[in-house]
Amino acid sequence: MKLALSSQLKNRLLPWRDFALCLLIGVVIGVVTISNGFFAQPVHAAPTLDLSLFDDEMNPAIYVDHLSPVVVKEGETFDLEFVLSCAYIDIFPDCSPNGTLFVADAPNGKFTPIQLEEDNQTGLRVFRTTLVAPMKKGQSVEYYLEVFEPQGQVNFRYPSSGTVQVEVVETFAEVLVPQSPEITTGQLILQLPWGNNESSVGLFEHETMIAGPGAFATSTKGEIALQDPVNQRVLLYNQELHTFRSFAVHLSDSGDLEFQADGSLLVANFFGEKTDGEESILPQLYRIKADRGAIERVGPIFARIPFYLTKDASILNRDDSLVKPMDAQGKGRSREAQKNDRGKPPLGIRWLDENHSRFSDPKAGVAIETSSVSPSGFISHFVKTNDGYVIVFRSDVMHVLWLDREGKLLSDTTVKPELYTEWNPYTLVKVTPDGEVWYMSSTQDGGIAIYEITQP
Amino acid sequence: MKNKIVRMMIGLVFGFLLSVLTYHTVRAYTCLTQETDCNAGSSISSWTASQAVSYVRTAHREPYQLGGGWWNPNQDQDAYHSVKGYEGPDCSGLVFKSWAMSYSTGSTAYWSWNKTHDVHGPYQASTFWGGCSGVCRTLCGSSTTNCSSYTLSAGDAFVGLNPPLFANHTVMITSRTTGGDYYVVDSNYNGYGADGGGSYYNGWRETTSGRANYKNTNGVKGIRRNPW
Repeated sequence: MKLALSSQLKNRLLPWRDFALCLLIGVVIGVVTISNGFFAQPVHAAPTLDLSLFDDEMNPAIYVDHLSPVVVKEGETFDLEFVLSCAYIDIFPDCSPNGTLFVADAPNGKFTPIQLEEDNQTGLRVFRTTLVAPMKKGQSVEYYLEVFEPQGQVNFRYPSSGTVQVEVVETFAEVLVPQSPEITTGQLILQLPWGNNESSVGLFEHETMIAGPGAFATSTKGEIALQDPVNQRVLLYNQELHTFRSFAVHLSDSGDLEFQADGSLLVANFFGEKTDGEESILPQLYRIKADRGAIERVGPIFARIPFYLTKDASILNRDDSLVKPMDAQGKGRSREAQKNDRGKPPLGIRWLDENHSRFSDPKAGVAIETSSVSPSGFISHFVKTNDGYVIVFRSDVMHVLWLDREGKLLSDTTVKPELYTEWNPYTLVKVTPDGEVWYMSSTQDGGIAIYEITQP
Repeated sequence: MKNKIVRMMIGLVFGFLLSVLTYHTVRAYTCLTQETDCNAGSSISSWTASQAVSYVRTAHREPYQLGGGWWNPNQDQDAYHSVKGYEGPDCSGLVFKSWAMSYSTGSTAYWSWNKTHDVHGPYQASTFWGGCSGVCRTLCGSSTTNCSSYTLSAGDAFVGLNPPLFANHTVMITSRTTGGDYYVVDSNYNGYGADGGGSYYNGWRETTSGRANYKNTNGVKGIRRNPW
């Protein structure tokens, strides 16, 4: 019985033996066809880099991340570090930028090349060297970096114009930053609820995003200007008359505004918008003239990461240069003009570590080194006032230090702004020429409040 | 005899089709969505923090989309795509692609993702908080502490789960400022389409500090991709 069944099965399967064999042959033919690249994507020629896709200001081909020492002591050794990374890793995944440092030789002013040491700690391509500051006060250390990347054939100089200059000082005014004193609250200047009428500011809550006013400014004439991006306007409050004016303009939560010496108010949108003649979104500058007529567009700001607006119509950019988007007649400047004519901040700051920082005012010959027992936070403000300087350290609190003209600590205070909406430590805190510090708080139910603190 | 030849021919055709179909199925898996270019990227043997920083910077001025994973790095908003939807990654999708993480959960292998390819990856912000299934590690911070006394590097990320400002959000660090602050790539309210037109109210920007006090907020962690 068993034998009969087996023979029956064999007879039934026998005709399919050829089918199975041919199926196998078919698979083999398929594999051979695929492995010969029949279905593969067409092979492209060797990739080339289209450098027109990049520009130094807004979209660099190679990023140079470098923190200048800003100010050093005579004879002091100090490190220079440059982190280089390619923006075109899609085209050349193994791109490997190299840098040669050129340092000014003090006696003859000639620049001497220095080969940098490469270090790939934590996967960052870091190039570094150690220099010694000259033993002569007032003699700065000057350098620039030549960057070359062989695969993309990219060759450029950092900074793109001029050099990096490090001030050399004989000594620092030493300031021991006290432990943050007990938290106080400033004097309430202005409080506005959430809303969209003439005396309120917009609140936008969605997913992880909570947006509200991103910047404010105060004038010596008693005006307070507020960016109200959710309502797409600038609000101008007159403290004496208790009146509001509204100026419709395209804003993001990232921007700044600042009153100028001629009485005008400059308004910057750092996210920006796409305007006629531009291929991409660019930060934009607007102006409300002293007569407080309509708001007008000045033009684009060619700065990749703007920090804040200054009182002389400049914008501090990522590489610590001052971009000037407007000419003397108040007209917008071209990309080339903004690139070729950049300024340098009059004051220098350099955070060394959680407990030490340096500050310099080369024009006044003042150099300050702060040290603290507990972490100080980062430096959000170093401002020259009529009577000296104001330093603002930012951690979970805002620690404000008032110093005299020689850099001696006079007093300090600590406040803790409430932040329901997004923060911006640079544009939601302002220091007046008289040394008053204004800051904005926001709460879920209470709207926004602007406070003023004065030197204790 | 005729039947035998027919069976053999069918066998040959079936065998051939089987291998071709298998090949295309595997390719479609790596493609993940039915894009016109169907070009996900490629497996790579190494990926550095420098490369991650370069990659994440390409999202500058590109839109944000919850659950999204593709962008065309032209610092502008692209038109709605019939298959991929609106342009823009969300926070976890951006870090996933920038860290060249594998689609295979828990794998520390590297995958170079094309930016225009629509892939979010299997990790949410909460997964980053929990260690990315072993692909990342915590350097500082916890649900009750912060990163105020720890110095993070470029390529590291902040992740937090605490409302209101940092609810399920992650941002990557790109460098430091001279003032000791961090540059991060964070999503911002940009004022476009807040009325729903294109839902482009939220765009990525390389910026100082980001939109919250990440370093000093309890409940925010600093994390690093393994094995960096």
